[in-house]
Amino acid sequence: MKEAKTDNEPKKYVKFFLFFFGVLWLGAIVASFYFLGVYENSPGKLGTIPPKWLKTSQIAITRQKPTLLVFLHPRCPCSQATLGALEIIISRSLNPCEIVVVFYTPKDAKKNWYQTHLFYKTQKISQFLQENELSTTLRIYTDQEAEEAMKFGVKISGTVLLYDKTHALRFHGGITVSRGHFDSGDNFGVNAIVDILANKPNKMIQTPVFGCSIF
Amino acid sequence: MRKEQTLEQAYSLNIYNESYKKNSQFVDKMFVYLMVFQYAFCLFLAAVVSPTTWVGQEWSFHIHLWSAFIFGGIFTVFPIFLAYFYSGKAITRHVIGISQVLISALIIHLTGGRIESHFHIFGSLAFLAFYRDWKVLISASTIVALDHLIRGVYFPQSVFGIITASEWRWVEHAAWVVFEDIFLIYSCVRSSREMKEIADKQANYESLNNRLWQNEKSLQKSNWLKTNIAKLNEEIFAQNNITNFADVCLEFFHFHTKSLMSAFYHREGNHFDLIATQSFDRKNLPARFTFGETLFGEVVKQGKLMILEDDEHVKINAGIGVISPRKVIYIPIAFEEKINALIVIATLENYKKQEFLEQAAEKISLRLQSLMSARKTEMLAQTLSEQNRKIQKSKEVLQQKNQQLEEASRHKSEFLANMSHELRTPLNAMIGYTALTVKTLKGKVDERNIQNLKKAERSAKGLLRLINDILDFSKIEAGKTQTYRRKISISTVIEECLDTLEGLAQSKSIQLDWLQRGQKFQEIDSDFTKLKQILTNIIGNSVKFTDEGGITIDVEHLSDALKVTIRDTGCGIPKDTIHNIFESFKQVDSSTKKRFGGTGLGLAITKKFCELLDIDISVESEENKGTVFYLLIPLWQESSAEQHSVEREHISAAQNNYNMPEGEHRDVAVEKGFVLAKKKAYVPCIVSPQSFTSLEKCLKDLPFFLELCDLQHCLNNEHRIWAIVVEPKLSGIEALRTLREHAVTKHIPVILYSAQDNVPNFCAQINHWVRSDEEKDFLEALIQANSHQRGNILIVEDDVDTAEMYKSTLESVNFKCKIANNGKEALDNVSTCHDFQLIILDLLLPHMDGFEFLAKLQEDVHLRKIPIVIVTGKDLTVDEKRTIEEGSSLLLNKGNFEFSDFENYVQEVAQTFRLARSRSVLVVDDNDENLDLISSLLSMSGYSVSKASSALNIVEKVVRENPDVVLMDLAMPEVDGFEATRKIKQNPSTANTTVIACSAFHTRDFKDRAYSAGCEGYITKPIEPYELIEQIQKYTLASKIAYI
Repeated sequence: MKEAKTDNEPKKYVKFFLFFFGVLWLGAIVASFYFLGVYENSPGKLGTIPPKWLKTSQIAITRQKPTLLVFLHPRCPCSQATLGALEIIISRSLNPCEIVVVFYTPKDAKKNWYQTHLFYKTQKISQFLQENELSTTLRIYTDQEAEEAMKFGVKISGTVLLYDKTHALRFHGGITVSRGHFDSGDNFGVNAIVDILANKPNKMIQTPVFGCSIF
Repeated sequence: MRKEQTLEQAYSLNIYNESYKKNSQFVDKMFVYLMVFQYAFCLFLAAVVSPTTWVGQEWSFHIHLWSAFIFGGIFTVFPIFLAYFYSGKAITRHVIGISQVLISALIIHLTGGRIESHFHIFGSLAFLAFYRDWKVLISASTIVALDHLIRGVYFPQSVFGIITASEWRWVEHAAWVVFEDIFLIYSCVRSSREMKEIADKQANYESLNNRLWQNEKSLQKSNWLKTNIAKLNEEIFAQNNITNFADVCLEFFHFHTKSLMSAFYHREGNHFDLIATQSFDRKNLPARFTFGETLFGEVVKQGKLMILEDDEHVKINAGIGVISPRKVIYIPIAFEEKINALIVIATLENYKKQEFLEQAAEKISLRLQSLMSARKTEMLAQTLSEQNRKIQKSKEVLQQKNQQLEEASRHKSEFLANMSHELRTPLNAMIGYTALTVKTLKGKVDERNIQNLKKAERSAKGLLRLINDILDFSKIEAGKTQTYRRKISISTVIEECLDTLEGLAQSKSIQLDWLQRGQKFQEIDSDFTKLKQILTNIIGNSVKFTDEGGITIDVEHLSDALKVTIRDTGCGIPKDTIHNIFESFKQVDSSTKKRFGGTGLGLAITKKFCELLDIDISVESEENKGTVFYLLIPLWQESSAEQHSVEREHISAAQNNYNMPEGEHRDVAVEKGFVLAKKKAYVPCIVSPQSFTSLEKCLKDLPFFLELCDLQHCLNNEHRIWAIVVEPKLSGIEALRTLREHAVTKHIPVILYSAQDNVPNFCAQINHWVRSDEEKDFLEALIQANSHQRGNILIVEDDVDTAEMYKSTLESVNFKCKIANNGKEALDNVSTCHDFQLIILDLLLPHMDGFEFLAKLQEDVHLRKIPIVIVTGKDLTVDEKRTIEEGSSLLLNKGNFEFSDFENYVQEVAQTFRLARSRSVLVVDDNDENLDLISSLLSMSGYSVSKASSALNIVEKVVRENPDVVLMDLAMPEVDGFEATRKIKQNPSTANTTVIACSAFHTRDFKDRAYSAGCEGYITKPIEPYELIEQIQKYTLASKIAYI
């Protein structure tokens, strides 16, 4: 009987270890999620964004419609969510705007360095808009050595700047809710841009940005 | 039952738990695989989706990759660890469940929160349902809910994608999970229930199986037991010696217990002896012990099987050293609580089959008991054999002595037989001559001389009785007395006794009354002669010892016997001697002997006869007042007939021919007195016309010529008269006297035909008296009437005096006698002269004895018809009686008859047996059965019967057989009865032969035809035996009327 008990039931120290490791495990889990939570919700640092369109900028803009500058690192996985949010904005915008997606490209970088999945997806959106002859347009601007990003004080991929027809800055920040999220969904940034483009009153002019550093 | 049910439930639960555990372990294993896969998938996902994070051109591994590697590892390792080391446990399941949903969360993170990746949670929950433990779903779902709750509160955008989500949106998420959980929980519960049911069924099945297995095991055990016990039985039953038996027992136990040492002690009285051993150890095994002595004695005292285990004190010398047996088994062998033996076994084995040992002990006890019994029986048999040998030796000695005694007895018997003859013959002559002298001299000499002669006769008779008694008693003592038991009438016996003794009683002027005279009693089963002798002895004694008063005989019916009481008023028997009156040679006292005479053997013989005849005899007496004898005689039962049939076969013939009681002669009395007749007999009748008519009617068809006439007519008659019938009331006494005195008629028999009951005194001169209403008696009287017609008699007797005495006696009654001194001379006489009416023959003769003479006579067809009266003093043996029974007509023992009756005997035989010997009947019938029946009936009645199955050549047959009567069947093929009768009657040589028709046709016409053909009589079929015999008697008598 003693043997049977030994076989079938864990010894006390086993139980203890089980309990210990269980607690440790639970702790690790909590810590993990906490870390992930913190990480995902830790936005990047925003630079100083010029309130007016910079004349020094090489990016040509129009005065007929607002211009939405979207700075992306072509290899940032979190920026997938930014493109998703951009699609929402395009689909929800009542008024047209010109969207310029600025892809960071290092100097002397080969073509395939920046023409990533993100790049092609952006191209597809652009083509879609063109093919459907929508008033909102999208064009890609390759920003070598992040010159334009530096000019506009944008350091984090996924930063969106909205200048109205008057070239005044109406909104800046991210249009995703956290890092590592590829689907964005509704968030303050998207809603604010949609509202601004619709000429609706909007108090939200700045949101945190989640993404890789462009430089 | 209840216990079985509980066990079954427990077993079912166990199966369920086991099954559940197995399932859990299986699912654990599956989750191990899944988790490993998921871990790899997370790494892959992180590597594909977000492998790197960038700062300009600079890159580093994405935090997701680290998260997948580290957190995925954390989430996976611990549950895998539990699943491996702690599989099937609830904690493992719950950890796995929690891990699984955490991995779901990780995947969702890694996929960047893609909504599709949320399905992983639902899939995981579904997979967790494989555990069939709804609690796992609860714990996993709780983690999901908590995750949503916590993150919904603190990082809503991380879970809902928006920052503005409601605080309760986690509830909506959790609700979807709960929605799935409901079905999954239900599924788990149901699945679990099914598992339970399966477990129940399996438990039931396995319980059943287990029971079957148990039964089979039990059966196997039982079979094993039986087989081995049977083998033991076979082996021990093959042994007939106790020592061998003990060896076999020890061998058997050695085979089964692998015994090192064993011993068999057998009980002898109060101690037990060692009779067989295996590995005998003199030091440790006592050769003998008693009850209570040592452990052996204690075991037999208790009578129970005992086992000593691992006793280090017990040592066995193994030859090369000393070892301790593991078990020492003491097996007492008891039969009916008695210990007969003890078997001790020491073994190194851990032998446990105690039940087997007990059963084996039982069998051994039975066989041992039987061997002990057999040994005892053998010893007894030896003793018996020894005794038998002694007995045999004694027997041989006894046999020798017995032979000597038998020899002596035979000599004695021969002596007695010869002596009886030698004694009786002169005594017979003495008595006969005395009687003859008395008869001759009566009235011629002084009466005193006559009286002296009578005294001499009485003395001689007394001496004869004494000799007879002594011979009788000697025969009884020798066990040579034979009885002939049959159906007889007590009345006949008593009447005959009274006939004999009445004269004596009258002479003593005492009454001799039989109270029931004339009454009918049931027939008894007894021997006529012996019973008569018994009664004669008793009544005779009573008469002898009674001087005043009288003797009364009383017969009464009891249930199975007749009680005969003989009461006298004689002197009685004193009390002190009454007990030995039936003993030999005992009389009351010597004075009695002197006073009354007698041998003292009478009652002893009576007692012996009573014993032979199953008669109870007892006596009561009071001195000077009288004596009462009681006889209980068994009644005749039908079974008695069978019992005595064999005896009857042997003896009946002899009894019919000689020594036949007189009563027996009555059946054939009507046949007496006639010889061949050629014409009708003339019978004048001095009777009234009415009586004459009756007489004529009575004699119809018979060859008598009756004439109604008066006295004068009779006296003047010129014809030869057969007999004269007189009716006293008509003719008167004087007429009778005239007839008796008249010269013409004084020799003619007179038949008194009277209606009166009492015979008149003068009837001493009358030949016959017939009551007018007894027509049959009249015929008999008529036939007997001419008995005075005498013929020639040959006396064959070597004793001249005796022969002369016979001659004188018979000549005095008108017989003509011739004497032959031996058989040869007698044979010459009968051969030369054929007209002997009768032969009187002594048996012990010189030259040719009586037996040889009889044999010679039987060889001759004509001579064998002569009736023979054997008068011998020889005490005949049964064989001698049988030898002579065919050839003689009457046997007179010289000691057993009154010589005064001798002439009557001779007359009777002369009339009866001559007729009987000449009777012959030819039966003609085509039906064999009828032929045999009729022949048998007639043969049994003493007729000489010849048979013919057809009437062809009937005349030649009748001439050849010369029958007195032909009994002719009328309806026969070829030649019928009418034609045959006509032929017989037409032939002169056969015309006088009486033919009696016998037919089944009763019509008048048929009878007339028969009579017209010549038949004298007519008998109808079916035949009544009595009627047949009566008819045949009638016609044979009628046909034999003649004059000598």
